[in-house]
Amino acid sequence: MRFPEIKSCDNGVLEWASYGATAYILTVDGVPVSDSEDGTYRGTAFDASGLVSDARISVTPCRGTLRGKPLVVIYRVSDGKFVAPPVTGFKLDGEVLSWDPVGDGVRYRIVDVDFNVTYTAKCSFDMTKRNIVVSVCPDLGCGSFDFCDIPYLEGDGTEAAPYEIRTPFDLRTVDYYEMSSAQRGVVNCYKIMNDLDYNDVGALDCDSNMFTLRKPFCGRLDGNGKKLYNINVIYDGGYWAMFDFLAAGSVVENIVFSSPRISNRLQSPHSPISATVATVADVNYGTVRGITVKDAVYTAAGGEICGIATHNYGLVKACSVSGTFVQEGTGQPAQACYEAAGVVLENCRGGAVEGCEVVRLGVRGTECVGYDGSTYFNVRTVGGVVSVNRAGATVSACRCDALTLTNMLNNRNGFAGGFEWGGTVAYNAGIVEECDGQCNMTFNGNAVTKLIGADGEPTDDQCGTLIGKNDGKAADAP
Amino acid sequence: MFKISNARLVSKTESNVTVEFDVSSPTAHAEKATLFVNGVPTETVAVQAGDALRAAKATFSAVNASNFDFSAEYALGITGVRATARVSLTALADDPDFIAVFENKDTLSCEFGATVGNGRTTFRVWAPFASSVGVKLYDGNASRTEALGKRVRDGVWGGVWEREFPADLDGTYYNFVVTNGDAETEAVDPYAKACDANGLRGMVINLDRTDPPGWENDKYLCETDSVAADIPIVWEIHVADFSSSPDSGMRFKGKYLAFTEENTCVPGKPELKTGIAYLKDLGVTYVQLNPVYDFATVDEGDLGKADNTKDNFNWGYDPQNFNIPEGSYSTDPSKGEVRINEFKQMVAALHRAGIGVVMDVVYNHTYTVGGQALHDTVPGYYHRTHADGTLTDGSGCGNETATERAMMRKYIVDSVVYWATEYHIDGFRFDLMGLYDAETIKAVRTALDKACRAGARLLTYGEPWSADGIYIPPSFTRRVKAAGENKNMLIKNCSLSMLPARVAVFNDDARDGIRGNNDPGPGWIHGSADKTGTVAAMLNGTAKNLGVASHNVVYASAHDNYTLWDQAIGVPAGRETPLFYENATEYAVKRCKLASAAYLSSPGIAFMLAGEEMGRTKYGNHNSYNSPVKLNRIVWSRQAEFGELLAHYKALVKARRNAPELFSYSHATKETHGGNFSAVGLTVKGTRGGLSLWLDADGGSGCVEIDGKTVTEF
Repeated sequence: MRFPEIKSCDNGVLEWASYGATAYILTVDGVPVSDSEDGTYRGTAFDASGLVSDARISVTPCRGTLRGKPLVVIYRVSDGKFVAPPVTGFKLDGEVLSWDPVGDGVRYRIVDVDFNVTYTAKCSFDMTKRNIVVSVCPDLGCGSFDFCDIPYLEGDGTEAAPYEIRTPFDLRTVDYYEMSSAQRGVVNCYKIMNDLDYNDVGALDCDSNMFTLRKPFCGRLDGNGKKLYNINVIYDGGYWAMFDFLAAGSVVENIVFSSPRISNRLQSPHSPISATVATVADVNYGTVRGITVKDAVYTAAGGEICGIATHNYGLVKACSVSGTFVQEGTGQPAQACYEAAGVVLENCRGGAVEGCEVVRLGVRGTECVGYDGSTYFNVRTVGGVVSVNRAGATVSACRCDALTLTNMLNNRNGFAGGFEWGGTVAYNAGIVEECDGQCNMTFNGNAVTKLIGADGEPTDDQCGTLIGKNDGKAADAP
Repeated sequence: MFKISNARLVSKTESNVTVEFDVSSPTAHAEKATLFVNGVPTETVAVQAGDALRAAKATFSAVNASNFDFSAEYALGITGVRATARVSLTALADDPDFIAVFENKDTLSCEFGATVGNGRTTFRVWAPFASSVGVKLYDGNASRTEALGKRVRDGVWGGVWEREFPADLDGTYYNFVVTNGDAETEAVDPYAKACDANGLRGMVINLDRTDPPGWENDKYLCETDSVAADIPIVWEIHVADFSSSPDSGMRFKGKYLAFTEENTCVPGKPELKTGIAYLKDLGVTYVQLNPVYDFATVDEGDLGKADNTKDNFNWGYDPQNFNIPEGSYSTDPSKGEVRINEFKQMVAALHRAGIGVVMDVVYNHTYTVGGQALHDTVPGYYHRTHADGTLTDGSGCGNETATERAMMRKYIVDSVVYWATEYHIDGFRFDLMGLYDAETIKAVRTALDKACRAGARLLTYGEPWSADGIYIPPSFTRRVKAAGENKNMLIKNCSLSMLPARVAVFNDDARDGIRGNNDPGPGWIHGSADKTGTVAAMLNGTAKNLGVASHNVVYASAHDNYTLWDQAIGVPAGRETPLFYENATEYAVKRCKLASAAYLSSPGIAFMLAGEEMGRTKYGNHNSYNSPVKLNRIVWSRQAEFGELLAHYKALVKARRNAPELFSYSHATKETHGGNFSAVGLTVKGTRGGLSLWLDADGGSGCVEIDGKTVTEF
């Protein structure tokens, strides 16, 4: 079963493809229009330009080889255009979106957050394993679309009545609100209303139950101190984080991640994918504060791992992390990555990490075989709080209580230097201040005693309980 | 168990035909062979030894040139072997009789595919080995197959099947059903202009209805800005890379429509422009799009899946339907007209911004052989073979197309002209152009010149190498001899002076001289003094033993191999590669400045990988064709860190555009040697007209002046 498809709709003339139909029932606001003696409409075009008011036009094939459903459009007198009749009455039942029918048997065009299109003859769409829907309209055969006002969340997005997030699915719909509000310049407020159990999410092919929010986030998400738990992600792409990009002005705060499990695919030593794991954001230009990541177990088969944000240009404040980070796989040290940090992997110019605490962090590497047959361990840089602190970036009032580094690359593998391990910061070219460096730190089984290490020296000298290598300013260091 | 395989008819004379085949053991030479024609045994002869240990052959006199039927089914039976083996006629595709009959003038002038208009629809396909061809018309999941008839002109059937239907079938999905020998295959129309998701069915399309508003006023760059068009500065970009990063500020991430978005910036950072706005600032005159024809590896049927923990990305050098835009870049691949419309919107938007569009075309191989439209309609014709009939692999992708065969040549010419005229494409970059024969590239150039008013000014360039060195496939030798093209050569083996002046090649000698090879090894920018001369030669327009300066595509990075930034910092780091690729270290910025100052001051087509100007990194990955999009995409925020390098590029681009007397591509077509640049140690120094330049890779300093005014100094 199919229905006539629009071929053109210019200058007030609606033209459709016959696909074997020889006659139609054509109505204008329910009134039949005929161009033949038998009361049917034999043409494949209708000139609506003479209409004086907006009208609903329906074309239903009734003879010929095409037996189908009606094409329904609204003719808009003001601009002489044909538009889809609006879809209304959206309802959400779990992850199934439904709406009121528009005429009989209309086919609907569904657009998702990535602008992919799906068609359905039903008045519902199950988003269980699909992208979030941003638009539903009757299919006109071609044409653009408008965002629909779909009430995924309770609340109106204001500070007084933030959008309320009660399920993992609700959290996914944040992309919809960010997309639709981006055009209006509105800053949305969201609030997590209860703990979110990710066991409730049906695992997809990859056994993951939480997905990255990929649209730039400009709003304010208050976790309300609630807990996200049973998160299990096995990802195959280039990165995983709750948010891909936190824009300047955005705020994400007061969320507890309880025992998240994240791992990524094995990469080729010859073609590294530099995959990254961060709990909250891959890139942060906004503010992340009051986040607790408890007992994380993150496993990378070649890549970068950190507790809060991979690249920070904004503010990361008062976050707490504990857990175990593991590098598996066969990665070569002569490639990017294979770094880890408790909070921020790279604190970029303008970035600030303040008052963060790493309670307990273990980082473990794996023995690999190089091109020349030699073996080595594959982790080369770890910072208890920050891995690399760039010039123009600041780390202040942060601490790491316990840092255990096992199977770290060392210079006995033939690599002379360029690798650092620090209780607070591995490599500093910016400012480190008000950090005491009182870290109970071990490196490949040996206790680290120096406060600041030195590059190019024997391994133990590349470690420091405060900073591994310092090319910047360490305000409180001797 | 004794088996025979790979039976192929290798020669046809006035008295007999010879079939060669492979056997599982040499004892078969004592056996008898029977040739079956359309299932009827014709003759039984003794099996002879072939050239190789497990090769055998048999010569039959019952069939000869006078009674040979190309569309009959030929099979070989061997005593003691239960099943007959189908005999391939591929080798006869180069037989003079075949060429005379099936590549006749009428066939070569046919318009193939589905054409619709005036209430009629015509289907036409070339299938000379077929015994029957039908067109399968779909209506939803239902379908019916209608037979096509042989097109006979002047009493000769040239292998063309056709049928006209008295109906406008616009929007109808279809495939051809081709019976070759005993195999009936449903094949996508090789000339299909539209298709459904994943390109498994063609679609009849009235192209007029795919035109976006104002398309009739869209013009080639050379028609709106002839000066800019004549100073090609090409920015190579992948459609998904352009917009996929969350910091792109674009709505249509990964789609053609991202190119239509204006005034975009990094969210919250209005000073960091993105997309079209960025390109206008940068000043490049062309973008080169990585494959945008319909390719195979990205699943278009599952784009709406929520599982973003898996990647669905590929560069697209896996061609499936050569004349259809890729569907995954459209908002609705399931509707054939949508991808066409959105592609045209993209082209129009770039043209409005004063930027030409170059397509990366990959006719040198097909993603698959069986299951691919060309092979499924004429098995064996479109691909080159070794002497034993197996496929050659000059592409490194499992096969290579036989561009020297007339219908493959026509296919390429038709396709290029179609993209140029229907989609207003301003230029073509030929992947592995070394695999093309010179006559085909000349034919492309000639056809483009005549295709439209702007034709002669459209760009053509490509890679002059292949993946298999200088190897010449036996089928190539056979064909050029049969066709009387004895001087025709594969481009990888011919002197570039044999090419038209407006066919340029990537100057990999100069590239490696500038930045080093992909080991990665050191280049001139790293202090390798033996490479300085190559850089000077590039500046003089004489590198790579070129005929004229316009044969030069000068560049330092492309989608293949390490990005310039990764090479700049990766080489000196050796085994201790840098911890991070994100920060603009002084040493590496100077290396990139040296490289760009050299090639952007050289004659020819200047070319850069998108983002090279802001230190684009792939984190040490030199072949990211199916890596995650995160690794590949443009990170627009890098402008902030790499502002100094970006300003340097902008200055060079602007100066190049403002100096047509130095960088006119038209002038370069007549220029064989234009400068007096020389190399001393690590310093390149000299002048060409008003251009004065010295670049010292020792300290990483340099100065470019035009007409006495400093363009860049560092």
